[in-house]
Amino acid sequence: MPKRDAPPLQSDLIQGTLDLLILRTLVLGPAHGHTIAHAIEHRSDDVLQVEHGSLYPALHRLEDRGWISSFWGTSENNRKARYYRLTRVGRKQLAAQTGRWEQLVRAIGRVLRPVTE
Amino acid sequence: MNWLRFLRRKKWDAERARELDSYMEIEASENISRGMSSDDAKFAALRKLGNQTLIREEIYHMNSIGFLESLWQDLRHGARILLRSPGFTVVAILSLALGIGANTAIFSVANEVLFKSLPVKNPEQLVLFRWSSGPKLMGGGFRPGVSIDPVTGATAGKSFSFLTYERFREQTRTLSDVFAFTGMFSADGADGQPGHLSGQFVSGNYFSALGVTPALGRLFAGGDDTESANLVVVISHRYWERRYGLDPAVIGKAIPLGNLSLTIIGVTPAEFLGTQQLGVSADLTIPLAAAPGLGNSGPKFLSKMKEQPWIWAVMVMGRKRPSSSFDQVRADLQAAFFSAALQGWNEGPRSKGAKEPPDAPRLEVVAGNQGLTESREALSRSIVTMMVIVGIVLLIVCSNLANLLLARTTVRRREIAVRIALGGSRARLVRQLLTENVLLVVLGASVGALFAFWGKDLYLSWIQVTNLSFAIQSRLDLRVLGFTIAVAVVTGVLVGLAPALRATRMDLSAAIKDSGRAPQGSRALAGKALLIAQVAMSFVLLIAAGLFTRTVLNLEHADVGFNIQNLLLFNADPQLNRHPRAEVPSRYQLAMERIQSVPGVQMATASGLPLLSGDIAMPFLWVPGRVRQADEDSTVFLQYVWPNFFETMGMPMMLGRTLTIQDTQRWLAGRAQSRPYTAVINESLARKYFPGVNPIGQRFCEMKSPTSSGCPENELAEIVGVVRDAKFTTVRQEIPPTIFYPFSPSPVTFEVRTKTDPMRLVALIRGTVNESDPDLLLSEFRTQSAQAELTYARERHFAWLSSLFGLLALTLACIGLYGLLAYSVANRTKEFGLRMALGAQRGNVLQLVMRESLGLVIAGIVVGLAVAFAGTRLISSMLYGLAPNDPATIALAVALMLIVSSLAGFLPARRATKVDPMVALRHE
Repeated sequence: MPKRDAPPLQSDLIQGTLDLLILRTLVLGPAHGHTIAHAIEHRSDDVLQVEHGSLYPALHRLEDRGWISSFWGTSENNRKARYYRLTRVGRKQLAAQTGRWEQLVRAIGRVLRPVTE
Repeated sequence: MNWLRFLRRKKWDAERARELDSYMEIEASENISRGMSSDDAKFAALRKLGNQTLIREEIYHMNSIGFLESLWQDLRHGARILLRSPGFTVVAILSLALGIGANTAIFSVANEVLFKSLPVKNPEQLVLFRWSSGPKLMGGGFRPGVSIDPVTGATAGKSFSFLTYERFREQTRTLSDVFAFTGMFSADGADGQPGHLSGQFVSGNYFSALGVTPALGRLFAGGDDTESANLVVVISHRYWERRYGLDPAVIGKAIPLGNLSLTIIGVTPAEFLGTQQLGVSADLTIPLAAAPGLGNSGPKFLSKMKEQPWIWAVMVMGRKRPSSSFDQVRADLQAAFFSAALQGWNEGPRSKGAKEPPDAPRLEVVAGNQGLTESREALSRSIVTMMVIVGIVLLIVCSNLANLLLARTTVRRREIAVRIALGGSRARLVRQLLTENVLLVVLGASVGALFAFWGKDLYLSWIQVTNLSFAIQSRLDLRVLGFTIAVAVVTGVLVGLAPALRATRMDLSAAIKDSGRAPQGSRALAGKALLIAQVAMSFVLLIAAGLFTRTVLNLEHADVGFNIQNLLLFNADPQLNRHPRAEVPSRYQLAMERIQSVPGVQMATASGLPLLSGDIAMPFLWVPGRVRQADEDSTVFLQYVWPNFFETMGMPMMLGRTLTIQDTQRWLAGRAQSRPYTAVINESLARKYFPGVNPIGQRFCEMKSPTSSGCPENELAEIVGVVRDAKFTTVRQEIPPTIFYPFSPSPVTFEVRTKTDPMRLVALIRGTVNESDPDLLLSEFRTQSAQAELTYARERHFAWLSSLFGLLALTLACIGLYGLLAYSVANRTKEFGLRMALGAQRGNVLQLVMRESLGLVIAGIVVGLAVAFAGTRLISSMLYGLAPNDPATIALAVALMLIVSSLAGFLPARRATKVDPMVALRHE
């Protein structure tokens, strides 16, 4: 459940950011859609609320670009599920995009920092 | 974008559905393990996931190619719309198919006749040599002949001496190959089979220079065209099929030809018909070196051409180096041509006593990619006329369809307005309407291609009847396919774009609120303009049809000056059957006597040329003591006849006496004894050369050039009779001044006057002749009237086709008129109701609508008349017995147009009178 003092940011979640989060999640190993959605929520302390449905077009897009690949596997509780795995291209992309994201965050941070005299 | 996924997007979607299901299961089971009830768990999972269909749609769109996706939608929608009104669709597709099919058919023939190059390697590199000269020629025997300007005497030709060919080969720097071939010669019967057999001689490098590869065996190699070589022959694919049934064991077989025996070494490919005139293809191709060996059994001039360089009997072609131009080739070889021609003159005419120096001939170099082109040029005019006619038909089809579509889009205003109101983009709607129309055109074009496939053969058979040996094929090749597609695309845009654009430009609220209102302003105007154009174009076609039909009628009923009925013709040629030349006249005479004895035969004769066959022999006349005008055309026609010719044909003598067997015998002895021989002339010649004088006893001689200065006393002929004028070459041609000589060299055409249907006597006559002379080969039995019809076969097929297309155009225009009026009446129901409520009689309403119809038709006729006046001038040379603006034909076309269009207008007009005023007014 989201914390009251930190309202979910889902509506502001910029496209591209979601891609980055998915890639980051998959660094830990192959996962299926459900796991990825929950993992993102969990790792962000439920600040980032992913509408689970929107995850799937993003997964499709990433696969289309060749950054991730997919296969059918069996889930922890013995159900058929489609697993995604980071490809080599995806790994590179993650590094590059993470770098850019950090740049962006620093830049915004500098702008927002209270002016010192 | 991924094509594979695009094509498999259904499967992908199923995969996604499974994936989403699997999410649901996992989430739900987790929810249950958190303590929810099964239903709540599922519901929570659903909420968490969101709208599954939306997700799947989003992914589906990512997988699809937007343009193709909507195109497919448009196509399906278009097909549904077309199926909803099958009547319209059938009329549209059929008229399109006829329009496009007719154009494709004619174009495929035009492609074959006018555009296509020989099927050889790099045909654009081929050159053909010709020459032009003043009246005094350097050569002697020209085969094929020389064309002479009848007034100036300027000459031109395309045959050269063998010496010239040799010089070209030795001296050229601009050509990589020079090769030669002779005209066609007939070898009928040489292979012991009935039917035509034709041959040509070619230089040994003919096939290699052209770049032809054999269908079987080998073609000529360097050694085949030498005096010492074995006698070999290459046969055509067609002959291989006809005579040997495509038997591969044909190689090595022998064909006897005169005194020679030729060994078959190869077969040319089916598509290669040689470099002769279009439609003429040699069955046997023999190396030039074999020509002398044929001796008397072959064409004499060919056997002597090597040692007699004044005989000009080979056509010369070359393959130019890619770097050189036609002008460079000419500059390269002009000197060689002149010196070879001069050498021929010195050895020939000059050594025989000719004193006057000849004119210097000029070499001409033209494109050789189609071989000899005179036949192609002769056909081009009628094909181009036909293309114009079918082009007009297609325009009528287009405007008719555009009009129908315009009316339909107006009817569909509501649908379109609703779609625009719901946010459909205008571009998307235009595209959708355009797709519908293009779909229609594509369907029409496909059916049209089928029509063309049959139609082209029909058309070909029509133009081929003019010549018995004519045999061209036409295939639907890539160029024809390209033409069809181009025509279809242009048609589609012409037909579809305007209505589509117009349909989307409308006042939405008005269209949705009031679907029953008449189209106003420009829509109605555009429709009327299109209709007037249709009426005008079909009127023009009707006039053309009328002119051609009346031309044929005039030709059929023309007075040819002799009795054309019950006259049987056939050819006889004893030459290749080893008859000694001296015996030939007595053989003919015997044959004629035998034929006379056949029951049912009245009289038999023979002549050098059949009448009304298009064949001519044209020397120039010289009369001693008569001064020739500088610009006078002194051409006369020459006919060689056997006794009884005038009597058999039914040509009465006007003055003097007829020709008898004594004249023939005197002719045969004449040259030896240097006595003047006798001749009969026709009235035209008498009028022109002996005005006011009794021509009997006058003398003349014929010459090869109009500017020659006469002949010696012992070569003069004496006129013994004047025969009534009769047509000579064709029904159409003016009766030319004609000379009749009392003997005919071989081969001849026999003319037999019968008492009954001539064709019934064929077997009897053949049997009787061959009983006494089994070697005399008789061929091509036909009646004189059939022979005459062949000379106006072109006019006949023009009459047929233009009538066909004229009626088609008329029908289309009437459909258009009917459509327009029916629509307008439907829209004016209220108005008519009001008028009738206010006291208008049915007749008034009928008049109202008919007046509208008549106004359109008359406007169309006026426009059409203007076009016809300008256009029919172009076909005036194809007409006979009437002027291009023949009033009777025009009156007939106007009447037909008015009557048929009134019928088309009457149906909607009558519907207007059936309007019930109460119903119409209450409708408001």
